[in-house]
Amino acid sequence: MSGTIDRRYDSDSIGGENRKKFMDRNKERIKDSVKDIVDRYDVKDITKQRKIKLKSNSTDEPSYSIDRTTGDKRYVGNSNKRYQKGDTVAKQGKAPSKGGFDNEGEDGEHDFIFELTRQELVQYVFADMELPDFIKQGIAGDYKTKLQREGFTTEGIPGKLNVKKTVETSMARRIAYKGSLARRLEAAETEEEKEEIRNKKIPFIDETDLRYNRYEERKFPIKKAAVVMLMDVSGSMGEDERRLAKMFFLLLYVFLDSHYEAVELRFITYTATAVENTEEEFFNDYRSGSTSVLAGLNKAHEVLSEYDATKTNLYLAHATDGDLFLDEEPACESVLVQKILPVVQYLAYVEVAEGRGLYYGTTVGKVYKQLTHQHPNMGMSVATKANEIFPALRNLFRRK
Amino acid sequence: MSKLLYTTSTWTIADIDKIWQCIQELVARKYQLDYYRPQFEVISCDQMIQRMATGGRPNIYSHWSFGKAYELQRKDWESGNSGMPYEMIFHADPAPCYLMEDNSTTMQVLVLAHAAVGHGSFFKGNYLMREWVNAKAVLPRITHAREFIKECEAEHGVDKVEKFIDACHALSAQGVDRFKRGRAKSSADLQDKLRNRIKAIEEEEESLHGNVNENLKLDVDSIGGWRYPDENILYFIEKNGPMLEPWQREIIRIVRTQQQYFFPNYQTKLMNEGWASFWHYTICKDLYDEGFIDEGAYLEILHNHTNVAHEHPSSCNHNPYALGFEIFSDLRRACENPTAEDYEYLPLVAGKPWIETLKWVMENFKDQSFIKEFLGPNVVKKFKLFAWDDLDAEMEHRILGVQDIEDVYVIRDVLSETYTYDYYFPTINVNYMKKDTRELYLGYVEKNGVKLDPETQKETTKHIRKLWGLPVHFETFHESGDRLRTTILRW
Repeated sequence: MSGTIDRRYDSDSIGGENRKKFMDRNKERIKDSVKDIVDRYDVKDITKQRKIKLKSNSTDEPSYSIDRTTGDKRYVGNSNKRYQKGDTVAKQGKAPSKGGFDNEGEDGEHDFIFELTRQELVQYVFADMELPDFIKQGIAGDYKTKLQREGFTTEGIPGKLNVKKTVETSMARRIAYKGSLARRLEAAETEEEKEEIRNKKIPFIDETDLRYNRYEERKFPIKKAAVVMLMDVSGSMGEDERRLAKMFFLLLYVFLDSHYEAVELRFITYTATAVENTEEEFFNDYRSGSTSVLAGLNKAHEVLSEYDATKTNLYLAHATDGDLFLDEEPACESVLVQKILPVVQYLAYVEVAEGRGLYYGTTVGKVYKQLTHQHPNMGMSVATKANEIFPALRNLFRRK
Repeated sequence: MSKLLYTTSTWTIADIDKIWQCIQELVARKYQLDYYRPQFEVISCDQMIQRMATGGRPNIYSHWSFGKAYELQRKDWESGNSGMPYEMIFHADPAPCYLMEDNSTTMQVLVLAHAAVGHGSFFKGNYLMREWVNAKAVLPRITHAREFIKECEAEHGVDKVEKFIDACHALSAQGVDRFKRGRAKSSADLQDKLRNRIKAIEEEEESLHGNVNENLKLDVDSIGGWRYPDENILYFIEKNGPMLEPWQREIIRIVRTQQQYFFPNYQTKLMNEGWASFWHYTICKDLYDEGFIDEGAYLEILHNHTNVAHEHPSSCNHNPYALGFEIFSDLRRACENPTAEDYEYLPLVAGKPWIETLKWVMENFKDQSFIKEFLGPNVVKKFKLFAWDDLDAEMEHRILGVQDIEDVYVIRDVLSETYTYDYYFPTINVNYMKKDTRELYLGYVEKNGVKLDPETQKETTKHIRKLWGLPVHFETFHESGDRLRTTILRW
């Protein structure tokens, strides 16, 4: 016998190791590719874009190689149809490298494309944000499932042994066996047989009696969420600020996407007036003008009211660089307290500002800050870099 | 009663065992081939790709280059550029032979005949394979490599070890002995003499500097007088490198012994594939003739055989399956039904008993000599082979020979040149090492004006400099011995 081994179910950490080392080595290149993906695609589509293109770098794995365009060489080809010994054929420009008269030139550098898993892509996107581990797991897209008790099974581990059921089953077995022995005793003829039967021992517990609790995984029931993204698009919001804002919105979306079956996105931009946009317009809106946060918040409330807060979980994310008309302050505060905060699950505020130091020298910031004391369902941060975005969303992610 | 071994295309391991039993008996009965005992392993497609990426060594030490190879293979396969090799067997004793789960039962029959019998017997019989590979030691060596490098990573850091391995890999092609060099240990008295000399040098060091530099590890070999030129650069660096720590020397040894393992493969690819194809063809025909497989299966096998052993027109890269198969088939024919031509062009085999003779050919030749002796006029005619040149000084190519019988010798001459290790992996020698400054002198000889690619030459020599730790001189010579140019890497 050859003793064939079935390796199909071997855990393949080895292939995984090599691949991981390869990706670590190309970390910078992959990160650049990923940044490109973030810039180019809609928030909803980003996690589906997993193909990374890497230029094959010829100095990656150098080795001495022969320049086949030099020197005197001889070749043997096949399928000769027209040549005779002694014929001559004109050379075609640069001598071909592998041999073959017609057209087989040098192979060009190959870019190669490989695909990340959704988890890996999400990791790279958020790599600079310094997210804590449990969150990375949470947004990796694994559905959180609950284990629910579903009856009994005959296989399991000692911790799951159901003693009561096991003893019940054993009792049933013993009773049945005793009855069977009694009948045999009746039917026995010789004294010897009867002795033998009388001396038979019935085990108290048999392996077939064992019963274990059985658990099944159940997913969360279908829930819906709607996120309203509110962004200040006055002239002061430049490229970098917009990218930071996009990262902020993306993180929120990805997190919610892994917790709800259906997440709907609504986009509002505001300068002096507030307008609802498509995502495309949202990120490319270059209106400029003065800033009216009140208009933005009112519009946001308008959009939020379209949903039934008992059936859909509502979220508001607000990104701005912080300017506000002074006389709007009280009005803004009242809209937030009376109309928005009561209906949203969470409100996240990010100030994409130029190093203004901690907390909210800006007027908008001040308004929000005052509210955080009474309203735990909101979070704030100032962000000039990617790793500063997370604090705004921290409370949202707090482990439940 | 049906002797059929199987009836469906889905198979179980019991089926494989049954088929293998049958093939073993048939081969023993008719051909008496001797092969390493195969260890069959059922694997998934993904696992096959991994084995392709690591040269059939799934347990080799982990390195990013294997990850890259894996991605490339996978992409190639997914885009339909290459098919999955239906078979793979590794040269070791016992020989791991992989059966892909997606293969039909008939394909597995092919695998058993081609790989287990064909390649298995080639590994065991061919002189080059036997000379350079200790089949029993192969798998333990790989395990040791993996464990040792894991320890190094833990002790010295993954990054440092990885960069070191990168440098070793760059030189792996020049890290083999290309001929048996008698690196045997010197005699006992010589060893004593040399050890005393080492002691004297170390005492001098001590008195001059107050200590002996730990890294100045002197070896009996390095003091006794090295036999230059040495084409195994990695071996030289391992034994003589002035800046290396013991773990680094061991890694060099690991990389070069791995490459040495592949050394005979490169020189016998044509024969190996031809031999295996010849035997799968022969064995499967026997299985059909004796009623072990049915017509449908036999057709499937022939179909696959035709696809694989197909020579692409207008190519100078000859398909080893096609060419090798044709040559061995031609040799069998010359044995069984020799013509006058055969006595002239294939004198070593014409008219002789074919099984014995083919075995003798397999055992005693490598691709280069195989082509020289056994590429017959029939094969030349069948593939319409022709030879031509490409000279630096000329503006035209000249046709040196075509598929006529007078030109067979020319074609043999030209074709056999491309089946050498040297053709793909240039010989770079260590010419000498300056005793006082320990600067290294490397050399490359431009035969027929063939130059090295300057970009890769620069990058690869940098790795030598890194490993050696002291200035490295790279000199290029003309065939006549004149030195053409020098590059010095001081840093």
